[in-house]
Amino acid sequence: MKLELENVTRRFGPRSVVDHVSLEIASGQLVGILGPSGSGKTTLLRLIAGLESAYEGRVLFDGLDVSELPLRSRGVGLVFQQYALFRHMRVFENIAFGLRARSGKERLSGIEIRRRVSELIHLVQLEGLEDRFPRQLSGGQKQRVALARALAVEPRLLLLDEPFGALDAMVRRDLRRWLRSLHERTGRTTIFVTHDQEEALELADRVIVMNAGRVEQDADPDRIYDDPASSFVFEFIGEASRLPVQIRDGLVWFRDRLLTSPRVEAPDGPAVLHLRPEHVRWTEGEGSIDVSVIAGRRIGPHRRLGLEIPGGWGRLEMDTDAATPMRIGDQFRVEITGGRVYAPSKSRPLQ
Amino acid sequence: MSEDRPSSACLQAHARRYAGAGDGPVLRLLLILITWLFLSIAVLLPLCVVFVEAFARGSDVFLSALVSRETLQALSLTLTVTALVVPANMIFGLSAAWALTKFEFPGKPVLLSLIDLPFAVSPVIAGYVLVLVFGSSGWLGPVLSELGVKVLFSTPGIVLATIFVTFPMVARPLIALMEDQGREEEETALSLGAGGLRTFLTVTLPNVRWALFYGGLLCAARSFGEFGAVSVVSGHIRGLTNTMPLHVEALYNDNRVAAAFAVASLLASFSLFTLILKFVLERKLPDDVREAERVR
Repeated sequence: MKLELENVTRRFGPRSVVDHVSLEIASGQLVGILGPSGSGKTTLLRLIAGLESAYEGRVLFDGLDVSELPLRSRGVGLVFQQYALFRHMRVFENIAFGLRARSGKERLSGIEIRRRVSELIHLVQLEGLEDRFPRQLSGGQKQRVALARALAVEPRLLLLDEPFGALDAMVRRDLRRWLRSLHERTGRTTIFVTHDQEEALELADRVIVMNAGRVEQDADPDRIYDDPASSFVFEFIGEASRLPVQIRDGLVWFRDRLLTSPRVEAPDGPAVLHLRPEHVRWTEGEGSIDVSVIAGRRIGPHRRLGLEIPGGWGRLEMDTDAATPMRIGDQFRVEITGGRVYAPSKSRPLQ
Repeated sequence: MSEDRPSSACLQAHARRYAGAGDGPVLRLLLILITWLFLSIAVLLPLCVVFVEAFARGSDVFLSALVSRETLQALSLTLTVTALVVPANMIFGLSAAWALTKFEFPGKPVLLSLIDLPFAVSPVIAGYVLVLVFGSSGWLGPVLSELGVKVLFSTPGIVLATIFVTFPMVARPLIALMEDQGREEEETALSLGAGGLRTFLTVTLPNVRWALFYGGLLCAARSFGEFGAVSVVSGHIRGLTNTMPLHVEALYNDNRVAAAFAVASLLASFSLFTLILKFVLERKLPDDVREAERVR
């Protein structure tokens, strides 16, 4: 199902929690809405579901305005962070709930309901747990019951609010992969909300980064990481450090060093250079910057070093081979091989 | 909140865990002793006295006090009042809790504190308020008496007074429980195509049924025993508007001490029965009730 939002706005009192958001999501996409807490991402999801009504703007499902349509008629599947399983019902009855709620011609026989629920239990790999109560399940199992229950009514749209927020790291990683493959099999349009950038980049086809009720960037995960649209996105996605620089004739100067690699959008004057650890490299050459090591921590195969530029000029981070011996206080030189200076209109530092 | 009862095998580990909570064994023993002593003097002893005094003049006096016309009338009035008050408060409590926890609206905090009002106001004052409203010179009294409706010194007044005194008993545990449970289960049910009534009957009500029953039980216990508010509005008409507690007082004032205690023992038995029911409820349904207890 194709989803469109036109200028959707939601206010709580004078504050716009969702501020003129327009989106178009094609059928079958797996979209992640990413943002810090308070960015309006959950409210946006609730607006799409019909749990909240918009103050302004329209929500369209396959071109039809559903803004006035109540939750029960929208045909969306909901999965909450705490799963919201019906606590007094067994797994089977939880999944069957939506099928039993049907009326009139759509009503299914008991045998048919049994068959459908069995299929779903197989799909979410919960065979043998049909007679358990929610309190007898682990977090990951609850999550899958919640998904099966939502899928039972064949929703036009699947909405997941922080679907992995309450799980521990291992289960979270497994479930992410499993959800990804489930999406590939069912092809249902799916939108999930998360504050975890790694989760959004790994799981989604398309990531919508939100900040203060607005869409900051809407792109595929590669673009989001390699080409952040604003300083906010730059800092929210991945590690980032900042250096005070001067722009002269469109060139970036750090003190008396000319930096040729960064992309510049800012006019002449003082500015901020945003860098990722991979934009800093050990060197002996010209135009380099003196640094001393002030911290080191292990990140996967690398060692991430915290570097200080003597004289209080700023701090950087860079990755080195974990085998390279390095001690706090070691001094050497680095060069800048990337980074970005944003135009003032796109400079909204992360709070 | 009730802790898991330790089996004898893990009692030691249990004791070690709790001894580590910062209190030495002497202090612990002292505190337990004080609690027992206090409960014995304030609760157990008076309760025993009731039963001892009830049979002080032999079982004949005891039985005749129980089957006297006035006692039977008081019993039937008390049962009638309870039978009206408990369902009324269950419905009221449920709708109040539903409104306060599932919706947002202006004035919510005010409503929340109003529900607690009967716990703060003396029942006697509640009774006099009813007299002011429904009395012959009150706001509604003249109008109602023209219509032939008698509120004061009759059953309706007693029911109203009892409702006032007991209404937080169902509403409060329900509000706490429903607040804790949130709205997501209802939202999910609606998203799955269930209507409002179906959602209420299959999701909301089963989730709170034991808390509702629990509240009803507390409400019944209080309805049986309420004295202050009822005393003001009943008019103490013997054999007509005396409830059980009022009847006990009347008998006592007549110096019929044994009879007074006989009736009192019936009241006390009912309280004990409530206590046992509460205990059984907690044992039998550990999860739900513990949850209700935890958030109370």
